[in-house]
Amino acid sequence: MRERIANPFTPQDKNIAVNDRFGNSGIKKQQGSSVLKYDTLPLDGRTTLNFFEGAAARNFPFSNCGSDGNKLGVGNTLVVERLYLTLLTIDDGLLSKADDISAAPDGTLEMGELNLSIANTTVLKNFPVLSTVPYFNYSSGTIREVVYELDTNIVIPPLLEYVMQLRLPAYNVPDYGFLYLRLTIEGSGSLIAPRTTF
Amino acid sequence: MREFNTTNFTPQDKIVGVNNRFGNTGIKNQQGSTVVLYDTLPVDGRNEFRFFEGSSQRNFPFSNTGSDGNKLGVGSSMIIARAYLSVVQFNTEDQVWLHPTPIDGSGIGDIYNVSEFGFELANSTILKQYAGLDFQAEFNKTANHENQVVLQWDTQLNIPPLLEFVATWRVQNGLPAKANTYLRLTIEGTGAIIAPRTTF
Repeated sequence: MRERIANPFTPQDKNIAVNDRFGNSGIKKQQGSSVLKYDTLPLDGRTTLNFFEGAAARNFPFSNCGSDGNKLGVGNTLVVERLYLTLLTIDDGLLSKADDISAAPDGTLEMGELNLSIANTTVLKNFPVLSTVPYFNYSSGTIREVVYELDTNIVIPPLLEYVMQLRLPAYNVPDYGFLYLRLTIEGSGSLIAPRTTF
Repeated sequence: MREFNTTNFTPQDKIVGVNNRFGNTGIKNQQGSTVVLYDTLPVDGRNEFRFFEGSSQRNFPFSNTGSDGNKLGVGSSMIIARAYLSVVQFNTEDQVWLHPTPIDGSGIGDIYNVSEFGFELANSTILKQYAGLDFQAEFNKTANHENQVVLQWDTQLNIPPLLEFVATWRVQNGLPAKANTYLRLTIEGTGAIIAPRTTF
């Protein structure tokens, strides 16, 4: 008979515990929230895409990292619980269409591998993109869902650089001429909520 | 009403417990992560696929085990919570990979699912003659939708560091070879990766 694991240790607990270890004990007093970060890069022939690196230079609708770039601001944290990739089409300078990666011209994206590093330490290593495809994604509830739920929640504390690197095999650039790839990471988190005057 | 067991013994607890028995007490201080390993072998008419054996010879995108091959590195460990098989094909004309698919509908024949799956760890069999049909969506009790081929195991198996592991997929004799077509096994679950807390 299948087990269900009931664990009272929540993502919020982990968020507070990890931040406490960094001496960031005020995180429990900030505003709890759902935090989602995305970054978008062109499929222009590069076989290594460093999502979030240099994201401060990209604005809406390419990234929502703002001037913080690939660091969370003071009092902000994120527990990476889920991730997904989106294929975006540029039409007349506007991002016009959003699809999952099965809409790509070939299987290059599914053959890729993701690595997440925080402060120069790898915390997710050689994760195959294929595991997000609905056929092979244990956490997808429908044949269309490409959101992958990680087994272990990964905490991104404030002010530490994070980069998610996607490694791809070689592909035919003309086939991907107008396509961009977006990576989204999401989960519980906190937003700065000052309780005093400055 | 269907019953289910609840437990508060997590995969992380099992990793720490098993590694403690091997004297590997430092595992709880490493970086918790989601660990996914895969290996890819050609559909060349063989009747037994021995995934991960010799995988240090295979590079991206055929395997992600790196130079460790079929052993996890020091400070690394994983729970095999799930596994799936996929078929990947290379288009030699355009020099690109095609979209991977499940075995069923891939063109190599769903007869590849009429098979037996096994797992060996440090010369011990820890999963024995498990029917491969259990992966196929129609017979997969853990599938969430009609096309899902990920099988979640009843018991989570732990791979400690530095021990050799091999997954076997035995099919009937005489199945045809198919050029530029590969079978990929992926195993995934909770794990740990080395996180040194000192400078080298």
